Amino acid sequence: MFWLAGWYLKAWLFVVYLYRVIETEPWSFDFFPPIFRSPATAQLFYALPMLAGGIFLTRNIAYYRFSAWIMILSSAVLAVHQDTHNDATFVTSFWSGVWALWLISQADEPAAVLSVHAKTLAALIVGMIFAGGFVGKLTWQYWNGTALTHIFGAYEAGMLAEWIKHLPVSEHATTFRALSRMLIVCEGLLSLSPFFPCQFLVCACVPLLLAFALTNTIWIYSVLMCLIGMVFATRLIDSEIR
Amino acid sequence: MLGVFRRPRSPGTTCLYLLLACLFIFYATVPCSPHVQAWYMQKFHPGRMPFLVWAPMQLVPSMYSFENRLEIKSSRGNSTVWTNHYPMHFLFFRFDRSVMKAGGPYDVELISQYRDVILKTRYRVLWSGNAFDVTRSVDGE
Repeated sequence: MFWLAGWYLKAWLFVVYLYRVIETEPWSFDFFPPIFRSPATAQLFYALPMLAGGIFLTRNIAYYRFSAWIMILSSAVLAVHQDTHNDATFVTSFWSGVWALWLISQADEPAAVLSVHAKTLAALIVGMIFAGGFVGKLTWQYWNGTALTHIFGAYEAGMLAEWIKHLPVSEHATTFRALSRMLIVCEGLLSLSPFFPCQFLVCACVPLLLAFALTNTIWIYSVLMCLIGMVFATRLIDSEIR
Repeated sequence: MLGVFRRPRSPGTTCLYLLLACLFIFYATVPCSPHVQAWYMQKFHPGRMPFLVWAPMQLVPSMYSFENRLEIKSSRGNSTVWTNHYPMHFLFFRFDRSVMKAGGPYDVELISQYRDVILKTRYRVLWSGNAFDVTRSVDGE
């Protein structure tokens, strides 16, 4: 449910973009193979996950497996398609789809063992995703706030940008420095998710993920919803066992 | 966490653990090696490496990392745009394509930096009447 909600959160943007803009005013970059330049490919794989909605109507394990493969395939295709590779939604959706497929494939495993591995793998995936951002920020330009100043200056959107606009210009550098360091620390903590107790995933990870919207717009949830859903699923598995 | 490896696990579980371990090890090398930084940075520059090498790198998360900026030159003037981890996103999503049709060609230089490692790639974007044709040249070629 969370995965689908995140995938279609920006449907208002993607439907117009995929079904009108790239048809009438396409880009053509021959680095991409023809099939990954084709608007039809992007249109098909953006719509395909709607089939995964069928899991709410059945308890058929084969359908669950089919849905997980759709999630993985659609995410992978759109993550490398010419017109959609610029969106992290498809990266996080891919990894949470991998976790979902793994979970379904372990249906015959003892519940206690399944629960332990489910929580550990979810923590590793969350940790891995944020480790990617964390290591990429281990530069002086990020630590002193310069990089964030430039990025948010370009986008000028979101709660953070709106809030900073109301501050005196003389305070912008200090503010961005503090925010940048906070972001690095938070991502560092999330990178270490696998090494914290399992309760960290739900009690700390989820609030941190939800708080990311403060530094961005609510559309960041298209990237984060699938991860939040994955974390909640580990909680449900625990509840089922008890 | 290490205790979990004493639990029984299926081959599929082991494979997933190994894959994630490899990614963590790779991430650990990024801050330590300029060679890894230069190689990894190419993921932000479509066209610098074969598609079959570039494509799997897109599934390796790198949110808000590295410093990327676009230097854009056209008949409408020059501009510098700082971007996040998807520098081409700005061109694909943020620019009004109907306006771009008349202002080309656009000479775009994508510059990525991580500490002292800098990578530059030049692209040219031109509306041909049917599509925005993108061609690229590599710094030094």
